[in-house]
Amino acid sequence: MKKYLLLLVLCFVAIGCDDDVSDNGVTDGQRESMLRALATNVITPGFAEVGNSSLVLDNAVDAFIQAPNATTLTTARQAWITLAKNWKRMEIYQQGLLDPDDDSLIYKIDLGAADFTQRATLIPQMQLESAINAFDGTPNAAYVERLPALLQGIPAIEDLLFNESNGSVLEKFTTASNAEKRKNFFEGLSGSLLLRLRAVEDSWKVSGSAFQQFVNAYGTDLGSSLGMLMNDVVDLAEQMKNQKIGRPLGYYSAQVPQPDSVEARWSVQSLPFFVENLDAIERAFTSDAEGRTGVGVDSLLNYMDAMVGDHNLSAAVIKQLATMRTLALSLGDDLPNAVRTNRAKVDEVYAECLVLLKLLKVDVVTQLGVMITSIPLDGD
Amino acid sequence: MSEPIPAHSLAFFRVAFGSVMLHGIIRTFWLGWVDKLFVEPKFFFTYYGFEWVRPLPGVSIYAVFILMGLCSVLVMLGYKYRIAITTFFVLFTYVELIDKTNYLNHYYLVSLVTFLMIWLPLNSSYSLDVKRMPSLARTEVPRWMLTALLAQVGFVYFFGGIAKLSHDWLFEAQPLRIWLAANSGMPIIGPLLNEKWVAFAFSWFAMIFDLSIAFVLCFRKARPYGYAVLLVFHFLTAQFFQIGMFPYIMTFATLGFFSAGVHKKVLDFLFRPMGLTGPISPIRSTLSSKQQAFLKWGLALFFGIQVLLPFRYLLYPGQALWTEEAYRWSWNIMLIEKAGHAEFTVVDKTTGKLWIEPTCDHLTKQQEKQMSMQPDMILQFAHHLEDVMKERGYADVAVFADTYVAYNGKPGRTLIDPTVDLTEQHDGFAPKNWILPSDEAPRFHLTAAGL
Repeated sequence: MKKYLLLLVLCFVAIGCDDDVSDNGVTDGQRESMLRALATNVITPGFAEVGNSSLVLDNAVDAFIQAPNATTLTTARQAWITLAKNWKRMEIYQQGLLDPDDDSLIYKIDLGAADFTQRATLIPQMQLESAINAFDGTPNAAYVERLPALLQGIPAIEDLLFNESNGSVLEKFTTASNAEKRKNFFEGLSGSLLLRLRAVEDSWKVSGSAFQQFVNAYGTDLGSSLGMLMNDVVDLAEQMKNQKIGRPLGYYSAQVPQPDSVEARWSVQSLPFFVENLDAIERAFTSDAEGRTGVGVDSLLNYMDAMVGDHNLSAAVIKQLATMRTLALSLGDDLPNAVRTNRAKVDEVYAECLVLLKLLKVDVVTQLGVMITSIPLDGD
Repeated sequence: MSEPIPAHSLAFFRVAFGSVMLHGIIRTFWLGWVDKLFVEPKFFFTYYGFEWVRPLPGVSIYAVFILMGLCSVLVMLGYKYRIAITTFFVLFTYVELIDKTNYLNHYYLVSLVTFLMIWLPLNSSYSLDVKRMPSLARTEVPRWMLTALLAQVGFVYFFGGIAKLSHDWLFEAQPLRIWLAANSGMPIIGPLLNEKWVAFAFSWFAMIFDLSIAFVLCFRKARPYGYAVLLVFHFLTAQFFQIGMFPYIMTFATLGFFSAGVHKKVLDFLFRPMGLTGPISPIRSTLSSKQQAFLKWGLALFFGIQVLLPFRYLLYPGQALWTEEAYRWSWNIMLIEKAGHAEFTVVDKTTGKLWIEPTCDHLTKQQEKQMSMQPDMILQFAHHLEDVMKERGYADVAVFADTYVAYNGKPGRTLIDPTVDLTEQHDGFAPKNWILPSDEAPRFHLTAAGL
């Protein structure tokens, strides 16, 4: 009996040590290196850029409020675009990564898909006007923070700076009856966003709590950093396909195009933001940014010889991102216009989004051994 | 099988199983799953042939769970036992039939065991029923009564072991390699769990354990050692994997294998303070010849079906792990880790218009996840979309699925033939010829062409 047991043990150890058996064994050390490289190369500098650009915006908003004119408005608008683009490269870090202590923070910074589908209607504008008119007093971030997420953060500032659908922005800040209230409200809005983004930046400094938690949760369990990261990557890829491209095309509304249901409708930055999102996924995938390089998810996949069909999986993902970037850039900045006049090309973008989603959600996730989660239910 | 054994072994099983059920119901409440699984969803994936099963409206489903909790207590105490266990079986099975995205092997086991318990006098000692109606008291029952319950538990292990005799499990150590690695952050043993040989050791050990443990527990001398191994096995599975009540059900249910003397000691400890004991003077269980024949043939049918069900996959082409045809009710325990994506295109045949229907508008995230990799659910959802479109005024629509699935660490593949109008297909026991083979190259770029 003992001989048989020994033989059996030797058998599985031999199989287990057989190099020909496809290996799923990325070590904790490799994952930790990957997380550290991502945090050091991408996340920490990225949130620092976001924090700095939010300060630039806050100063530009102050200057605009002090002297509302075409020059200060242009400066504030440019500052907003810079901040929003920086943010689009970082909005991917959501589930517990943005701030481990406040899951709802993301919505107060950028309501995302839920926001820009509503912004196609008049509801946010009406609510924003009500909030401005109800605002009575000196600039006050606390007042703004009590408002619904729809009236806060980057999209709300875009509305104030770019929305000219019911009158010019300059008129609203100079001759309108509620111009003073609007100025005070705007100052509060910008100040509140600055505070939040600075807090995120601090949290992601090397000594910050988010950084430390991120690099130390190097497993593949439900709460692991890699698990949360891949859930975030998949979420963004899904949002890009469904909300940012599919919805304006009318894929979800019986083929009735909804060109106004786009992100950054008023600033006409939908496609530039889309490209920033692609960069965000690539950076999260490679841990490389601005010449800084390190171990990325792609390195882990290469280590495992992960394939899709006959192709190297990580190369397929990078190639797919490049294909999408080329297509998106060929459309210019104005997505609503592209939907109206160059639909076939936007359809192509959608199709490529779907391919990217399949690669990330199914192949990459499976190879990494992480799970796309909803609620942690039992299984057997 | 007809020789008498002490009736308190049945009573012990009743108490053990009832207590685990009560724990399970409380846990379901505690985790907020009643709401998430039965109130939040707008659509439910019913089982083939059970399409008529519908969830009770709104929060009234809570009443079902409260009633099940109450029945568990009554079963433990042996009060109005037959009514309590029958009600529990009906309600539990009803809840399981509401939505197959919630299917778990151990839920199936609970239904089977509670069904058996309906027919057996588990309240004949150490029960309030006996105190109330002394004529129900028995000191001895035929051995087959306990054997039937233990056989049901043994079936889970044995057929679970048979199912593990597969290439993925034994020669790829999948999906344990994925799942064990997810625990590499555990103190002390964590780093070991990332080792490939550990996954192989676990896979082979689990297969051998499953195939042998029920037999080991039948031998008095080997039983303590077997149960010790069982305890370690289920402790580890409870630590490593989120498998809910499964380890606890098996740990408690297998106590039934122990001797009647052990059962009596436990029952005396629990029930003496309540003034409940087994009957003192010997009273044998008596069954008429008609009753005996009914139970004998009934049990033969009950277990005969269970012997056949796990092998019905042989009637279907392709890999059962991929097609999931004949996958449920077969004790395929912890055999696959799958990831998938499914997207549905609706075509209005009258106008030629086509669009993508977002699954998230109809399903919860959990349902979406389960549906995206299981062909029968994909078909069911396509038919649901057809119904929804009719309500929206589209009388004649086609529905196509663009699916992409990977399992057990293998590269992704297209699961469903994307050219097939699923509204033209119907569920049933026949093989689903619109499921693509698992070795066919994936088909990308399916959706854009027509849109």
